[in-house]
Amino acid sequence: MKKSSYKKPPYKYGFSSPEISVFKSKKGISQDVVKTISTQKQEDKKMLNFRLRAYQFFNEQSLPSWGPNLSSLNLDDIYYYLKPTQKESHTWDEVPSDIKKTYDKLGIPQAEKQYLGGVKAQYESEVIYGSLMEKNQKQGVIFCGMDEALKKFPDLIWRYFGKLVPPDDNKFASLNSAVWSGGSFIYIPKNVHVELPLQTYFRINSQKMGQFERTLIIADEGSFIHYIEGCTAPIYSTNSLHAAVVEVFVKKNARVRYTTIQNWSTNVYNLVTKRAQVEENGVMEWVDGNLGSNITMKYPSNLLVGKNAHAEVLSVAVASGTQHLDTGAKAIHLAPNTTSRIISKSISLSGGRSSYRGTVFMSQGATNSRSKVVCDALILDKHSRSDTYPVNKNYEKSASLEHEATVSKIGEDQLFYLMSRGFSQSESEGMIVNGFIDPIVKELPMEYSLELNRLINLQMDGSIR
Amino acid sequence: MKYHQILHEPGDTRDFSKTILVKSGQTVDIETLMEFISPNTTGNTLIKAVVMPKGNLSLKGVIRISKNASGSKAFLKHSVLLVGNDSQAVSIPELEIENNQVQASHASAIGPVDQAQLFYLMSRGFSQKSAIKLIIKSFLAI
Amino acid sequence: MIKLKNISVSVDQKPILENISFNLKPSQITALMGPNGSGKSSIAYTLAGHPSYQITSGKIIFNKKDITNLSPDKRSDLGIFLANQAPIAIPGLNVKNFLWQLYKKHNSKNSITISEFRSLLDQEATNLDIKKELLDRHLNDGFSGGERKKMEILQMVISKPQFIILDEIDSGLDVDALKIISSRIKKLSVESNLSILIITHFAKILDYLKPDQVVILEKGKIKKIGDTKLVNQVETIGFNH
Repeated sequence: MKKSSYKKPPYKYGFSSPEISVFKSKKGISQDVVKTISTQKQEDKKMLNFRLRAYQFFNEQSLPSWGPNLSSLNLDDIYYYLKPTQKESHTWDEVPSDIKKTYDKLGIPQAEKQYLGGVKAQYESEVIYGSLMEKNQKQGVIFCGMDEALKKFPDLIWRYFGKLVPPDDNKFASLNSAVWSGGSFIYIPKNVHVELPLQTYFRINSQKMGQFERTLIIADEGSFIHYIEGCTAPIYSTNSLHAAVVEVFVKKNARVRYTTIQNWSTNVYNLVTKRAQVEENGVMEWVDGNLGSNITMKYPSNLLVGKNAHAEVLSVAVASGTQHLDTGAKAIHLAPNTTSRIISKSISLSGGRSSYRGTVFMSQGATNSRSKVVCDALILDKHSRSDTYPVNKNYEKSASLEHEATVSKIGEDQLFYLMSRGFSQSESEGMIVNGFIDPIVKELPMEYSLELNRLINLQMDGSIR
Repeated sequence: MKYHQILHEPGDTRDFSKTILVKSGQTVDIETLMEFISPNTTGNTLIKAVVMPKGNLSLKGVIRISKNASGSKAFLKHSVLLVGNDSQAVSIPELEIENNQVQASHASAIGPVDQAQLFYLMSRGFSQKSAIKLIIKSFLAI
Repeated sequence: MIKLKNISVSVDQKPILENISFNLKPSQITALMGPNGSGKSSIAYTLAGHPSYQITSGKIIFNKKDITNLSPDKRSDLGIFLANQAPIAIPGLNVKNFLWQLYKKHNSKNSITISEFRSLLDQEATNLDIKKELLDRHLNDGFSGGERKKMEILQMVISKPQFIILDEIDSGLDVDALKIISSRIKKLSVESNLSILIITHFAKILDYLKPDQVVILEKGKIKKIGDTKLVNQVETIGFNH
């Protein structure tokens, strides 16, 4: 059989709009830039000091000594803040037409009408449009931009902000803590179940932008929320940086599902810190789709602090060409009867490199806890690469920890079977690849699973490729 | 202890197995690296261990398959039984694969003595202590 | 319709078939028999174009076209269908969606809507006594041997072939299933001028699909070619005589 002709389809979100800004910080990072951001946002001293302390930590820390090569990332050659409008709009009409056009192209408002409970769109650094279904509002659900939340609910925010990911956690968390802007704040009151997912959409438009959103989700006892995040950026030859921080607090008996479909264009450095703390009987689920960016480093982490807490990470990564996607998960078991499950499916093609990096830790006292990690990797051709870097630590004699990983190519017998039914080699490869990632894709909301399948070169309506 | 094996010649086969009993208070550290640099090579790494109370085990096992190693088959397994309080084990099985015409996989399990096996033996009259001893012996023997 | 002309085949450089020649005509049933390891399935895979089976000499002619080097999908386009002995599973591939793709590929002149297809599918599945819930699962994933075989026949019906190869379709099927499948195949052969190659070593299926020609294989070579009478001989005396 001839060698794999399978290719990732061209990036269709690579258009850009002319930059519009009410304010843009000067290039690079410095104490001045940090102060300017805080001033622009009219923050109080507490947050300003938080930012300045974080900036100090950022200077003291070095880049990670492991993982992908970050040497071409020039942190001085980036703009750290850009504000496109003066205030957040509440109806779609109020959003400036240029920005509206971009989101129309990306299909956002339609999605809201059809499917979602509330949409926030982040363009450059500010949340520009938000709406929340009336029902949610009546139940006391809070879904707003992080800046707005800080002003409206300071006590609530300060109880949680930076507690799970402290400002000195790692270099990029420090950076985020210093220059963060935008992001979502979600609070779900006790026993409230939000039936339709809440969604946010991020977009980086200007060249050399840094995007540093900060998201905080608090699911109070017995509540349920599904949050969806999708991201794109136009193609530029200069680098962009996305260094977000997400903190999720899952309280007793609550459940949170956090879905991300990341499709940044291939000039973006995507370096994200995501962490959840799960209390007694709580459930945290991460569904993580990584398709884009030049380099991604992202390891959704779960601290299981209450007994019977459960965490799940389902992740799929497709690395093509010059991409290096270094993704994985962490599960830290700190209480009895806690469980975790990590399923990672990755595909490398056309020279791409996909790496799984994970940690599972059973502390002493995590009695009768169990963890299972399954990593499957497909390498489609001889130019591509796959790695697995798991760390498994068990300090509790009654806890069990299992991990398995397989790396393979598309099975020749499977390929022959489909081809003998008349499907071309590339159609057959597409079907097998889609079957491979199916366990993750079926967890996505329908329009995302459709989009993901389409992006991975299968069209189930049979058009010849 | 570090063990480094390179499968130089096409068709090379290597098997590396170790069975370890980490005694009370002992610390054992083993690192293996198996490199596949020629076509059609086969390599298996199998490490089995029992960690007694206050014992400490660290296992790192790397499989590296280079671009030139088409047709290679690599497998690694870490199988660890934790017995008693304060026993600790770390397993780091790594894969770095640069060729897709290969079969590579690994498995790692760190856990307690099987409760079903324990109950079975105790129901046959063995004390818990004796039953555990028997289970450990069988685990290390196969 | 199909001519095997002095075909020799190797797998991993090991010769497994030597100098095989026989012809298959439209509306004709040919039985291919022989002891285990004689190379029967190898002929099936060679005809379907499996990449591991290297034709080292000889030609395969299909309707006057030399298909010796043609890829499996192109052979399928020409109307060749292989019902596998041990059909492989493709986890994650939904059966209904797959069959819909298959239908569209092989019935471009006869387009129907997706709901028309669903009715068609339900009808065919009922005819073949296939449990409906299998259609919502993943192809052959966790299916029993018999269920997989029936799934092959369902695909065959949808693909509208001209030439079908049944590789030990009878092994693993109970008598009722065998009857149902044989009658479906007969119906199909009446509708088109189907040429059928049945690979078997039990001969039970040959009671339902009577062969016009019998080819006996041994150690990769043709031992004898004859008519139906050969089947009786094999049944009574066995393959060694």
